[in-house]
Amino acid sequence: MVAERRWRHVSPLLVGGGVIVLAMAVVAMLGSFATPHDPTAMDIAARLQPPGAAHLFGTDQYGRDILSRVMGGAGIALSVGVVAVGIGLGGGMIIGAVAGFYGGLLGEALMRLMDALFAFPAILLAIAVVGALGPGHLNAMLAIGVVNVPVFARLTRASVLAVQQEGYVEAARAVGGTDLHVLRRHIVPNGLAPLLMQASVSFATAILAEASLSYLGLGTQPPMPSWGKMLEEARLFMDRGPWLAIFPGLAIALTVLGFNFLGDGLRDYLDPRH
Amino acid sequence: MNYLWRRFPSLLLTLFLISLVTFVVVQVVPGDPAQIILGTEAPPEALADLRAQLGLDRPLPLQYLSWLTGVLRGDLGVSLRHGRPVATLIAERLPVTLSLAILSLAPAVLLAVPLGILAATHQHSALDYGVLLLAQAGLALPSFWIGILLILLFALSWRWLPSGGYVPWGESPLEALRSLAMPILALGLPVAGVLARLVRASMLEELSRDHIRTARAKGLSETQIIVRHVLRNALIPTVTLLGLQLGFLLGGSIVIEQVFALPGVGRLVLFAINNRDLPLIQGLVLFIAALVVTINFLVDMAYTWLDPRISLENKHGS
Repeated sequence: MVAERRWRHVSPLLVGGGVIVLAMAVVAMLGSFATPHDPTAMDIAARLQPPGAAHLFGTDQYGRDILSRVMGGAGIALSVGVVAVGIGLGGGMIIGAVAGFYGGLLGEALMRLMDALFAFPAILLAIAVVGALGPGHLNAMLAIGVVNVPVFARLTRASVLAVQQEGYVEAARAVGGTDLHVLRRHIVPNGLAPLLMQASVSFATAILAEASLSYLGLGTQPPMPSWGKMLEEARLFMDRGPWLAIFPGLAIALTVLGFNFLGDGLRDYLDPRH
Repeated sequence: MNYLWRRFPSLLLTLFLISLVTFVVVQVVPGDPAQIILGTEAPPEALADLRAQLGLDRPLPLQYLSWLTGVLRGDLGVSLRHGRPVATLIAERLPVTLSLAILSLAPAVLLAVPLGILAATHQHSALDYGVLLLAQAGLALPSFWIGILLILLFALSWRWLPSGGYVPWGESPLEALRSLAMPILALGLPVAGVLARLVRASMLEELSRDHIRTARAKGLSETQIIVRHVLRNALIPTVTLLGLQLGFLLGGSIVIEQVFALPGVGRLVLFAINNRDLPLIQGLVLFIAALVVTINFLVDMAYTWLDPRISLENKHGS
């Protein structure tokens, strides 16, 4: 019965999001070794070629194949998502768990700091952190990760506080369960659903943030094919080659759409109220 | 009012922490301000003198305190590259950014509220799914890409609007609006996506309440029910979200100002970062974050005014 009920919550959003994300993951893997052309190889004779048989998405101002660069960019975008969400999730879970589990002055101070970080517009904080660390792919991932910490800390703390009141947690403590045991066996599994949903949404915003940072010249540096950087380069040549501005943007939109669908679908699946 | 007074110390604490985070982040920025001013060829004695003059030889907590007391007096320091007060530089550029951020709410509201209402009143119809899909697309499109596409269409292909630049409102309001039209749309469309979903969800929640059933039983028409009973309550979360979106819009304007070459605060942030102008970075980050937090506080005030249930709850609670 439970399995059947669960199955009914598998919405088209969850399936659609899952398919898009999986397809992007495959493209990202192919993009690292099986692109139609070398994403960084220039061919001045073939510059600004419109989409056609030789170059499905056309070529850019240096004659580089845009399809290959979009495929290469998928790996960069997904790697930013994985690392940034990993940092946000890891850091946020530790801070949120400590704040929720031990409370007191330390908990209060940690959450106030999270509130302060949360108050910064995300892109401003990311720009400030990249400004401090220096532009680049790794630093952009780190910056976006830092921006993601507060939301995961808040969610984890809320879950910890909610679950700690439950009878089975009190029972686990009564039979001598250690803090770590209670955290690992009861609190983490119960608080996982909201974290999972947020992870999917944060993945989407991380990809958008990296594209923005790269567009501003603060993220992934040339010749690495970042979607945001490709759009920035397209700006100067799009009167002669509008396709330069179309395909990288479509790739960003599709990937973000996939992760947003997945997040909404997971919410429907994991939270029966929706 | 009690509720607001209780929130006020929390606002001050957040503002204090924001100043602390800003100071700490900027301290990590590599580069010696004295060297930035005097150049790499400057003799060490001159550098040491200037560092002492700027107070950079003092311990960090003291530097922070002196910066903070300056900030409280409205002095955000002097830009290393411009040689002018940071506060003046911000004030000069603020009208552009504020016009952009505030006007971006217009297309968001004009599109999202009717679409959200339509979707909610036609739940599970093709129209509803169409609106939801549009809203999702709005959320997924990076605003700077929307900007680029708008330039491609309206500036390069049809030549209706300028592809960039800014005309001050005082010079020609019409030209100012023309120069801001595409940036406003680019920034506003993603917000419209968020808003349409929220309007739809709040409308659906209100429509399912008991007093709506009573209103129907009394024989009120659907239009009367929506206008008189549903909209007011359904729009309360919308107002809150609009306020919260101002923060997103101020952040987003950094990128959009770059796309459309608008001389606003966002471009100044990039100038400061690219030129390692530490006092300027520090002042700008603090100013924008403080502005966002204050706006959110004011939105909270508007929320209690719009929804008396909140202040009532707290009166009983306190």
